[in-house]
Amino acid sequence: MTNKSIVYKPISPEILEIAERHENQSEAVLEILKDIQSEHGGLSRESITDTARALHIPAHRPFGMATFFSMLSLEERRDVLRVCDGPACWLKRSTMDDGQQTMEGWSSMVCRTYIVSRTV
Amino acid sequence: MPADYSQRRKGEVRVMTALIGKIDPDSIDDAIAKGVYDGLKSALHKKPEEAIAEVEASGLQGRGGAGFPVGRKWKFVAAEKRTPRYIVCNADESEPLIFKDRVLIETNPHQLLAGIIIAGYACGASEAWIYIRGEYESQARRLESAIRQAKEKNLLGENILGSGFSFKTHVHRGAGAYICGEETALLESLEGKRGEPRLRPPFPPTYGFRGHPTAVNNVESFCAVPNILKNGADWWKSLSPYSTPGTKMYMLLGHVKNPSLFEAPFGLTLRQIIDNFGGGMQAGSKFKFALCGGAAGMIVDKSLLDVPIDFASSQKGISLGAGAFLICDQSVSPVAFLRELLHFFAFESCGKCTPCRVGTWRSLEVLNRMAEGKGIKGDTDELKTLAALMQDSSFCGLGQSVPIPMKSVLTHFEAEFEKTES
Repeated sequence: MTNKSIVYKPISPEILEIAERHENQSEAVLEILKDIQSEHGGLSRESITDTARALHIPAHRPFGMATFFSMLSLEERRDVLRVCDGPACWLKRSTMDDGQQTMEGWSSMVCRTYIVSRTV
Repeated sequence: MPADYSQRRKGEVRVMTALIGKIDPDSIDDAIAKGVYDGLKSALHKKPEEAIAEVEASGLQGRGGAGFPVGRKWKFVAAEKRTPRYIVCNADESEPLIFKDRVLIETNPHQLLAGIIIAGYACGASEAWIYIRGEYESQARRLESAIRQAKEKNLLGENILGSGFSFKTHVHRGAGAYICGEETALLESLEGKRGEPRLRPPFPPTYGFRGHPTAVNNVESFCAVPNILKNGADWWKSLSPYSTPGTKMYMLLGHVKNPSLFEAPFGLTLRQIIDNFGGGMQAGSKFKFALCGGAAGMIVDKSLLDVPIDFASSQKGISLGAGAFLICDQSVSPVAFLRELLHFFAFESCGKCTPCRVGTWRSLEVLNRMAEGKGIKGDTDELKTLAALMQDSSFCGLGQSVPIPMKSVLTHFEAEFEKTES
């Protein structure tokens, strides 16, 4: 039986720096993930595990956050198009009954969702 | 283009919104000159217990929707021996239809800060967090700049205005989760965890942020506090001819002539809200039903147009909730409308407990086919069963309140639901 020790890849210096900016606080995991996302447009598997390693918390914590909050994404994406389909905007037909989105309802006065949010 | 709320409407009583358009929200000098911090100064001259007593005497009820007395909550926190104690401001405002907190922060962030500092002083807390919705980026920046300016003027930080009281405030941005408006889920999220609710009791005044005594209040509640401390509890009571003291922010949306936001005393009827503040229904529109409170509010038909609305009126079938009123005309089908609501809840259910996670999706499936006119016999009963089940067995307020619109729409429009069954 060989006794090979596992060699981990070093944590990405970028993530170490972001974690440092938040004083390596595990409470700030959401802010850290958001900062990573704003750089890359999304969260890769590695960036999530690296965050966990940098903060000395189990990987399920940042992974759980990334899949829980709708503003975090596991895919790296550039421009995000969001259409509000809350009840008030729906009344203004932001979402048509056949599922096609129209421009009409987008200017609804209560719409609080970013219509187009650039993540990069 | 942000809407202009500076015009006072007939019948409005403006307290929290009095300075909209008259104050520069980015300037603390202007805020101090206009007396926004006067309430804080008079609070610091009192003992903390006296400040709580004043808020309690005013009868201020929490404005997040449940209406729990603010003074009593602070008393619970102040009575806890453990320190540090915390103040958390719930600015998550994730309920659809509600945008009062956004307007309050946008137009007068110092009023909110003053309220939070008073709460900190009264409860003997050392730090406060403002949990703001992730989408409200510009408002979060405005708050951060207000906090910076307040620090420069010694309204925050060490030994505030020579009173010996030190206090810190932070802004925390959410990331898009409806459930984080629930206070215990908010605290979990603030601690860097998934925003899933905790079992209550223990309630946050006993076991809150980091396990310490925490007062969680809504933005509007905090905004009312400096006004009460400045003018006294009796003045606050005198604002309203109705039994519930003070004023409330209302949001009026949908098929009315002038959808808007306004501040008025309690006890308005839906008819007054539509006719006096909304300018009546749009041309060609006839009132069919209204969603009162928020997405998880009650759906009422015209039989309840003349019932005065306050926190207790939900027993009569019309809820105040957070103060939103979405008015729908004859063109809107209650079945399709309920489908839209359930679509929202199904996506926002956090998944912690089964009745809510599965119940919302099952209801949505049923409503999807009903909205297409392809309902199966027994679907209406199925909805009633699901509603009862969610209400009885869900873990937190989200799952327990999804049945409120379901049940109320079924009492008023059961025939329209049954029509879709074949």
